[in-house]
Amino acid sequence: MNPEDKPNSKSPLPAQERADRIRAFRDELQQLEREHVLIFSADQLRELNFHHDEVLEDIARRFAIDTTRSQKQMSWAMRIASLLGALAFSAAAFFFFYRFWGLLSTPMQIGILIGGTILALAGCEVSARREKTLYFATLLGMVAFACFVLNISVLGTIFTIRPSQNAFLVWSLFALLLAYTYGLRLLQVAGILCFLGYLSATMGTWSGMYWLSFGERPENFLPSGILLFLLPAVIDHRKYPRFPVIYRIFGLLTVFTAILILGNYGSISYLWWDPHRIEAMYQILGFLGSAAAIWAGIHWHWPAITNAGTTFFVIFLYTKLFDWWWDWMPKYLFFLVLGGFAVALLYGLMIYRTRSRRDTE
Amino acid sequence: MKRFGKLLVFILVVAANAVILSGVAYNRSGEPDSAIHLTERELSVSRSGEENSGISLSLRWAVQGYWLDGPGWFGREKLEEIGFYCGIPLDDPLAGSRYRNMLPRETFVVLEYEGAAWQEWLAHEEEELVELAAQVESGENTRDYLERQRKNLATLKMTSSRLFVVEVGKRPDELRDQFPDGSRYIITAALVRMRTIEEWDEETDEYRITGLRGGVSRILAGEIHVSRSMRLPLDEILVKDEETEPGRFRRRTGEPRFTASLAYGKRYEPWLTGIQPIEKPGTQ
Repeated sequence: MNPEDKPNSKSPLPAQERADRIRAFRDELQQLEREHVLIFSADQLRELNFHHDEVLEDIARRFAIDTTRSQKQMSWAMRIASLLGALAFSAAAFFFFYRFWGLLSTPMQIGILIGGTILALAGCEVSARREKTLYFATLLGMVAFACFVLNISVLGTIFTIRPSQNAFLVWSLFALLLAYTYGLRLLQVAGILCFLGYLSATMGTWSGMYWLSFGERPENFLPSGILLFLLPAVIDHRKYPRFPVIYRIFGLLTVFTAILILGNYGSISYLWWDPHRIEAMYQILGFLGSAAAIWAGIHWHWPAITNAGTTFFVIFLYTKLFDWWWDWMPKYLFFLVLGGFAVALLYGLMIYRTRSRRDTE
Repeated sequence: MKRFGKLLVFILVVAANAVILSGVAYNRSGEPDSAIHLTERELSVSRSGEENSGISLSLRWAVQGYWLDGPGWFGREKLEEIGFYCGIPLDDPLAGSRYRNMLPRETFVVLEYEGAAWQEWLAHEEEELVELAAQVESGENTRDYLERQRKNLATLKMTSSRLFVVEVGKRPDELRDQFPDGSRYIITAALVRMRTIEEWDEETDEYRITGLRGGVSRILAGEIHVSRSMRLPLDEILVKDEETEPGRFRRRTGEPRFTASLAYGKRYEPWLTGIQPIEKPGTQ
């Protein structure tokens, strides 16, 4: 095989895309043969199949990717199993410690807390070396994360330390370091959530409030959400092609959820205006923001962002319609109008799709 | 990243633990800011059940003057002093939504042990009983109710905490200058809230804010872990409790059964220095 034919990135994503293309090409070729549009000679077909088999074998050897449809389905099942296993093992570690810690001396407690984290980290390293698919590495990485969370929080309990948001920063760093070291997306999500907690709580403390009340002012989440969304544009992720979409999605979810809450409960805003004015402002911001997300998703080919934008646009629209009409409209009429809006939205998106197809042509 | 990542994550685990433990060492270094002997009245034993073998002592406290209708010592001025914004006039249409939604702040409080605030509370309770007796005489209340209240007060005198929050402030060193006796006054961090004093307005048909007062929601380091080396007297108490009154929620009605020595360090965080069973009930 020509070296240029090889997926030249170290990442499994281009390799998976190549495998998917080959599978689709084979399906289409069969269809074309049935329709008598394109029929290769037996030699050509053998050579083509031989080449593709060689490519698939090579990328399957080098990367943990799915080369068949059934493998892809199995992968999803394994991902779910690894997530459930991680949750169960983390809970086991948590409950095991609490069940016996009262019987241990303080140095022993500290030793077990640190040792547990290091042991799980070692397990993650060993399984990452042995298994390309990283299901076990994800599982043990999550257990290591849970052990580290337990480690820091229990030290706080043992020594009666005042709780602070800094713990979230340390947990976030831990999870993100593991995520980038082994390419584990579940750990990336854990790191993102902790980082969101830290940044939002820190922002809250700037206004003087107690850090744990950060959730009571949704505006605390807006800068951290925007920062997350923009992060992939600032930091090069070529070696981690699956990470940017997760940053963008979590950034968008954070921002739109905060806007949605503020659009309905203006009295919990930082702004000292009339709550109705605050709600109106955030509702407009919600519509403009979700429309911008749909546009950005289409423009930069981020399907997940388009979907999230559309979902939030519909939610913003429905909550507004609910505000206006729920009380005075008969329920059948309300839902009829709601359905009508869904059809109008569908029609609008279809027109946009047709136009963009024409532009491409 | 792969090579450095493993090293960095290991360094992070070690560094995070080292920072926490050095913070603990710093808190406990030198002379404690406060060293105080409390009893079961101020420190209740809590255990979470079978799934958690740890034992902790929860600080029990009250705020001086909580029985008064008005703001008392913790009024608007004090709230402003610790950073709450009270600049909106009470009759402003926005006052309600702003003051009711004001978020709590972390600040320092002074806890007084068995001092004037405790005496004030006792006097208030005695006064209430006198008033109740007068009501019984005039036929407004029953003798049975009076007897029950007398018994209640007798129990409270034996069991209720004598720790009262008597002052709040942003600067713990200034509070210590104000209350220099570390064996009677604890300075520690707490969560403080703004509360509104409201009354029903017949004209507008809604509650109207007539004043602002502060309230202490929580002492932040109020749950003190008991290490294995100190838990023996508490284990014996818990076993006895379980034998006499099984279940998790029991109300203390008798004399305190242990004393505990607490120290507060440079970061105003506490640790236990000893627990002693009380041999002769009624001595504390």
